[in-house]
Parts: sequence; structure tokens; C-alpha cells
Amino acid sequence: MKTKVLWVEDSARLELRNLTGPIYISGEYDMNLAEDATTAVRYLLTKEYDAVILDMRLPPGIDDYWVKIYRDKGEDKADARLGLELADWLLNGRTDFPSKPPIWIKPYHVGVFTVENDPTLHTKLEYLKIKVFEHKVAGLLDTILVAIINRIKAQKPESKNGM
Amino acid sequence: MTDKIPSLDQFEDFDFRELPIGVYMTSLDGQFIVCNQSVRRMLELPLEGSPNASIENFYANPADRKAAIDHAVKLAEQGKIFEREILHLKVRDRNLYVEDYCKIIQNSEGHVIGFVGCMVDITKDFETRQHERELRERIEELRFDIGRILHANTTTLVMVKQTLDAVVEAFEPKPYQDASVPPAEEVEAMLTNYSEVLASTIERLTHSADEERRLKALPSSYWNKLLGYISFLREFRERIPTPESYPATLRNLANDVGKIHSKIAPGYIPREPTRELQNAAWHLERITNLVEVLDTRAVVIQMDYTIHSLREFITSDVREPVERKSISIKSLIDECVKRLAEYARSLKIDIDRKEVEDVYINASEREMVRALSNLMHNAIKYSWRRDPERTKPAWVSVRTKVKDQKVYVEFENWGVPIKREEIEKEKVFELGYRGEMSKDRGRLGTGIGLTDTRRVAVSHGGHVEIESQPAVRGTHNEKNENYYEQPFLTKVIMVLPLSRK
Repeated sequence: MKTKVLWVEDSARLELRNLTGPIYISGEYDMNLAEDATTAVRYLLTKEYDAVILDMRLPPGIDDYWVKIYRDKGEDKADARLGLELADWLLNGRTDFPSKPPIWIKPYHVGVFTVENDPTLHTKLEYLKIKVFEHKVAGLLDTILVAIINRIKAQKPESKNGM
Repeated sequence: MTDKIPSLDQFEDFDFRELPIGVYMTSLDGQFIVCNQSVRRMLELPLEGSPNASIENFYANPADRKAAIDHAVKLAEQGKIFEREILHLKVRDRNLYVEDYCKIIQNSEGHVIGFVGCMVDITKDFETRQHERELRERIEELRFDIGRILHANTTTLVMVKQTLDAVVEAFEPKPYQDASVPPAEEVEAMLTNYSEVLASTIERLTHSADEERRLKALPSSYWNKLLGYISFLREFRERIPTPESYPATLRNLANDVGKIHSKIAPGYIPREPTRELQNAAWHLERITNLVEVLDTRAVVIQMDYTIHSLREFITSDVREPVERKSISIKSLIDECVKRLAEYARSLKIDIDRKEVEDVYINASEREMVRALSNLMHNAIKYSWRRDPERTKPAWVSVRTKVKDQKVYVEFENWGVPIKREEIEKEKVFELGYRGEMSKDRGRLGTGIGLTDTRRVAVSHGGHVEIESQPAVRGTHNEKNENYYEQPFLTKVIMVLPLSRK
């Protein structure tokens, strides 16, 4: 069975398109791309994924909820950090968001792949129990997505017999 | 009424201890003879009785005290007083900055025996000023650093672009006449052809020998991979959800086929299909690389302009002011076209110079070229490159008109919309703001161009106007979700007063 992956990344189709090649040609992955927070939520509410890779700097898309957060934070992707807001909704719930997060998602499904690498971000990821983190830098191999997916999959707790 | 006015008697009876500024008298060695409540509060001395303290003990740097005395004596010799000197004192561990006005006291023989003066606590103002000074210095350093970094990056980009030009040349013979990015449908058609050739070649290879010989030539895992690639190559448009990823993904596949080819053990399968496999993989890899290089080259050219204009913007107010002179609008537009010709060519966009009047404005040439280039650059960057229903190539136009002693320089393009709200609320002019629709297809930007252009226009007594309307009116209602998905005609007009000859 193919590994179901959601990559939430606004540069996935363009600047980072080289990273998707190994995923597509391997035939082992069923990958969806979400280029904004609205699209990511749509995918997450309609499909169960084995791995969700999040960028931190995301545009809001068309959903008013994300647009408002984005505007309130100065309409700047770096300041808004909608990826972190998205993770917060997924794993921590947000009382003000109209939809509840999907019940299947756990911190071990999520990995972060971002240009940001500051202590505040790491504290927040630790709080959300997200352990897979990869800093987006120029020297990475084009197989980095496969590596992140494998790290996320390796976190999944083994199901025990009789449980 | 009259009893409410202070009388001269009240002044003669006035107690200096009640003054809201510090008043003091000290001996030559700094011992307070007398001081009022304000000084006591400043220096945290007992509010009643003898102060029993020396000003000398409050100097942050004791050496300053001697220098201050010498200075006061010197001023006294010139018949002047020590005025508005700032003293840095320390009360416990707290910094105290006071503005001091002081006069020396001399005995009958003319020897200095003490000082009388007043002081005002200016700590808050002083620290604020000091903080501002530090911030200004920091900004200067940052501006210098950023300017230097951007300069170095511009040089690097020139090197990258030259290298990419050389790489494009090395792809000869190539299917493209020039170095511009080929239209997406052309790329797709070409990739379909090359992919089919490779798929057929793999098929022929798999049929070129019996199973036993094939497995001696390559392990079964490689054969399985090759068989999987046949369908992938024929169905790549369905398998790869985003057309932008076609070249990169197929390049990856072709490269992998090349690696598998190098592992084929000789002597088990015929040479011809093996050689064909190598060739077909090489051709696909080559063409996908060419597409990627052309794409990257266009991005580098755009980045070069972005970094250049950012540097110009950051360093604009530290440059020597240049005297404004009468300049022809036509020559300014010619200069912009010259600067942006390669960028437009790299994206296959025509710059259409319509009616450009030969009129003059009084302007700083450097600033005006930058401001107008920003508008032309935006027009090119935010053009859509193709529309199946259009036969005309992508274009931007520039035209001028003169009305009421003003020239209207108008840049028009067809493509990315600017939302009505962004124009009405003037968001597009905010520093760092990038239009909501501007980020599609990976367009780079800093959100500085329009801010900078308007700043230049205003400083020249002009302004900037923006209009953005659907190219075909009435096709969608504004409330429709897809309203901003359609191409828009966007006009950005710089209005400038004509120079008086």
C-alpha cells in the first residue's frame, strides 16, 4: 500500500519542485500538495495521511479564518507563521476554529520542514510534541522529502498484539 | 483680583529651598554647605538637617570632577559661568544625568573657595537621546552591511547568469532559438515525445533477450523498476499532479535510467537496444535540464533586478543629493526599456512603446529611472504568459499623455489582478506589502517597488494611480469565487508635473 503524504508548502510546485521528483517516480507514495492553510485543512479533513510535512511560512488561502489571522499578524508569512497555527489546530485544538481537527492525527504523523530555526519555534514544536524537524537550507539532497517521510513513519508506535 | 498677583515682598521672602530645580552651594572639595530639597531627592540625601555629603562622591567618574572644576575656573577667568554642562553622576547604582549651571565663589583675595549653582535631572531625556543615537548608529551599520551584502550578491548573480548562459549554449543543438523560457504547452509536447521514445526503448530492451540472460545482465529489482518506468513515462501527466514539476521529475527518472544502464553486465543482451536506452535517457535528461536551466536563468535575471532595486532603495537617502534637471520623459522610458529588455526577453514578453510624447520633467534622473523601472518591472513580472484564446504574444505597454501641465506615464499589462480592496485601501503602497494575487507561480518580490515609486513621485510633486479591471468585462461577477482567477488589465500611472522651460 502506498504511503499517503501531505506536503504543506507554498513553494512545492515551483522553487522546490526538484524535491518531488524522487517521490513521484518511486511509485511508493500517494502525495498531495497544499500550497496554503485553507487547502491543507481541506485535505486533512477529507483524507487520512501517514505523514504530514509542514512549512511554517504559509499563505492563508481563501478561508476567512486563516485570512484574519494572516491580516492580524501584518499580512506577512514570516510573522503569521500559519504553519505553526495549523499545527496548533491539528494537535492542540483551537476553540475558535469552525472545524474540529481530524481525530486520526497525532504528533507522530507530523514533521516540519522550514527555513526557520529559532529557539521559540523549537519550544513550540516541543510543546506540540512534534519531533521531526528539518531545516530548509540550500545544501539538502533532492531526496530530503523521502528522508523526512521515513523519519515520520519511523515514529509511529508499533501496534501490540491483543490491544 | 489684585491680591492674587504675587508681590515683590513675596519674592524677597522667597525660599530657594522650594524651587523645583536643584540649588546648591559646595566648598572647593565638593562638600555641600547647603542644598535644597530637589538636590536632596536627586541624590537621596536626608531631606532635613545637614546634607553631610560631598558631590565628589557622586561622580560616575571621579576624574570628571577635577576636569569640571578646572573648566569652571577657566570660564570664571573669562567672566563666564559653567552653563548647561551635563554631569554623569551615580546614586547607589543608578545613573543620574544632570544639567548643571554653576558659578565659582571666590574669597576677597580672589581664590576659589566653592561653588554655587543649580542642576536639573535630565536622566530620562538623556537616556532616550542616547538610545536614539545608538539606534541611528545601528541603522547606519545595518545599511552599510546590507548595501555591501546586496552588492556582493548582485555580483554573484551576474556570475550565475553568465554561467547559465554558457550552459544554455552548451546544449546545442537545442530546440529553442533563444534563451527565453519556452511556453508550457511547448514543453509538455516535447516531454511527451522524448518520454515516449524512452518508454519504447525500455520496452524493446526488455524484449531483447530471454529472462535468464536478462537476469544475468541486471538484477530483477532493476528490471522491475524499468518496467514501472514505462507506464510512468506514458502517463506522466496523470502521475505528476503539477505541470511545473514535469521537467524535474522526468529528469530524475531519466538520470535513474542512465544509472541502471551503467549497471548492465556486458555480453547478455544485444548492444543495440542497450545503446538506444542510454541515448533515449540521455536525450530526455538533456531536454529536461535545458528547460530547468532556462527557467532558473529567468529567475536569476528577475532576482538581479529585485536585489539591485532593494539596494538602491536602502541606500537612497545616504547618497549625495543630486541636483534635479530637466529630463525628457522619452529618454527616461528608453533607459527603463534598456534595463529591462533582457528580463522581458527571458519571459518572452514584448515591451510595446505606444505614444510616448517628447516632454520634459524636472527630476533626479537616477531616482526617476528607478521609479519608472519599478513600474515596468512589475508590469512584466505580473503578466500572464499565455492564453489559449490569444494569438498575440504576452506584452506590456507604455504610453504617455499630457494634460493640465502634467505628464501621465502609463504602464499596462495583461495578467495578474490587483484586488479592488488593495487599491482602495492603498495597501499596495505599504512598504513590504505584496498583493494577494502577486505570489502565484513563484513570483519573487520584496514589496518595495510601488512604495519607492510613490515616494519618488511625491517628492517630485506627482502621484501614482492604479486601475485593475477584468480583461473581458462582464465575464464574472465580483462576488464570484473565481473573479480574481481571470486575467486582468492593470494600469499603473505615474503623474508628474512638466518642467517649466
